[in-house]
Amino acid sequence: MLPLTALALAAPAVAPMTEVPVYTRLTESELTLVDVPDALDHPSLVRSLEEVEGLIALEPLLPGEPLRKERLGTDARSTLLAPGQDLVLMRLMRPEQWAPGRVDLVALNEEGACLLVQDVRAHGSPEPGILSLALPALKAHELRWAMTQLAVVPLSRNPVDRSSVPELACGGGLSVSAIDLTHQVGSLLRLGEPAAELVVTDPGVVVAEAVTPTDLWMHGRSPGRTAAALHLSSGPPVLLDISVKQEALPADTEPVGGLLAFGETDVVDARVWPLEAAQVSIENGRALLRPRQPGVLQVFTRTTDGTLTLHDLTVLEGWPAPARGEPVLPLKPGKKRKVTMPAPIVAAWSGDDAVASVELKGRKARVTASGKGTTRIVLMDATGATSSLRAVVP
Amino acid sequence: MVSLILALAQAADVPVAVRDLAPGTPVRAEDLRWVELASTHPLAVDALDDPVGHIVIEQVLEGEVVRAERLLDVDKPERVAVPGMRALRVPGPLGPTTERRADVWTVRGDAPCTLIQGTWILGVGKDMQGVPDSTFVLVTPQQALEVQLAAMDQPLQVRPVSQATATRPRPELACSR
Repeated sequence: MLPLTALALAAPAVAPMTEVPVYTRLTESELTLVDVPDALDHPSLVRSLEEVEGLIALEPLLPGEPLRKERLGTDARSTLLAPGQDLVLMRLMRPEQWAPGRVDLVALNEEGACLLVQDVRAHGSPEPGILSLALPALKAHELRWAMTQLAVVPLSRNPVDRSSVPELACGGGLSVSAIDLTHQVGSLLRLGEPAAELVVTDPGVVVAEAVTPTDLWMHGRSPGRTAAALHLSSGPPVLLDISVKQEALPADTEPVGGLLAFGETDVVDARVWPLEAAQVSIENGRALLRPRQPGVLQVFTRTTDGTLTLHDLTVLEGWPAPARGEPVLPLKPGKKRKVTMPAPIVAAWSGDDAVASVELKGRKARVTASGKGTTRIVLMDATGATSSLRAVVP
Repeated sequence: MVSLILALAQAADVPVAVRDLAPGTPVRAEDLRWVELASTHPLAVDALDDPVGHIVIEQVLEGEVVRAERLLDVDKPERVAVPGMRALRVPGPLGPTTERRADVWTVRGDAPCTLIQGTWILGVGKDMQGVPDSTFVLVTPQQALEVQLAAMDQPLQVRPVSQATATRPRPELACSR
């Protein structure tokens, strides 16, 4: 006879009514509440159906088994991939079904066989003849390339065996270049030949754009680490191991509503990143930047002789107190003032026409106050030299 | 009334994990505590009588009843190669047999020969419809590479052998290297 103390019940817990395969998103219709004996109560048991609606099973769930929070995930990426990993769908030679586990990957060609990657987490077959694999991002790019060149087959291994067999590992491999970027700014990558394609594992960490066929501008979007495969016009891809670090802010500053004319002349292309951070334009061969929001930005310029230049800038929220010697032009609303330069002025620009506009009159520039605020006026003489002043409309 | 019925039921000792049990590890007596439940309780019905010595396939969490579904299933053998060894999937179902060991055969020239002799049969692989389509055998990583390479040229076949045959060297059957 069972002692009555063994019958004491804890609060009911949620349990599946049928077996739920791994990586299945849960719905309330396949769940129920079950009684849990007091002796089997646990703090991570799921108590209400609402808690699990839409979550993903990280492991197979058994019918009638009280559901534990450890077995549930929130989104597909975190469910399938550890940090720094990427998913590869490998086509098998036959329409086999593979259960989740760990595998080595064997590369085969006429010359022999070797272990291309060892100890890889396999998520099983999402469909016949496909094996889903989670690999470190660099290895994932290497595997994708290998699968276009060689026969690659999986080999099952013990799930807790972390050992590798270095003497059976494939030699060679793709070349890897390390790239360090600073958050919100980036660098130019000059290539030996035109790029055909750049595949970045995590575009949340780094984004890239081709500014010429042989120059990539890479931006550090958020601190972290990711990988990329750079496919050139011929040959195997080059792998990029990219780190984005949070470093000191750029020393050059300009506030929102300001204006900056960069030093290069004969500019034919200019771009800003992030795109929404500022407006960039080319006027009279100069790249002009009008910051629109605070933060860090980077500007790329290309001149007629092909020179590429990057400028890093911290955009301030407001105007700092005038520096010693900085010219300030006080204006009354609706009024005009003339500015005279030692040499004839050939171009003049305003950072914000809604505050002050500027027009040329020979050696002089006429600045007209349009509305309250502060902006920058930039004047350029015939030699290309620029000077600036701060227009203030109280 | 329900409590009364339960109270009248026979007691059953149910194994419960005292720590997380990772896939691939064998269950030991010290990994378990025993909880007394009514034998009709669903958790008691699904529990394994004695999981000691079984190999864990799906993680068992601390505080969970140890159920047979999370332990070694002969239909999913590819997941439990001995540490240091590999489970090689050879196309072709094995067919009914009581033998636990096998040779892996291929053809060199016109002559059949063995690539591996007397290896352990781990079980069957299945297609997406659950139909057996292959056999898992235990191999070293080096053997796995040799067999996979051979399979590029010629089909392979797994033939069961008796324990006595498996343990006897048969160099006359081996493929020349």
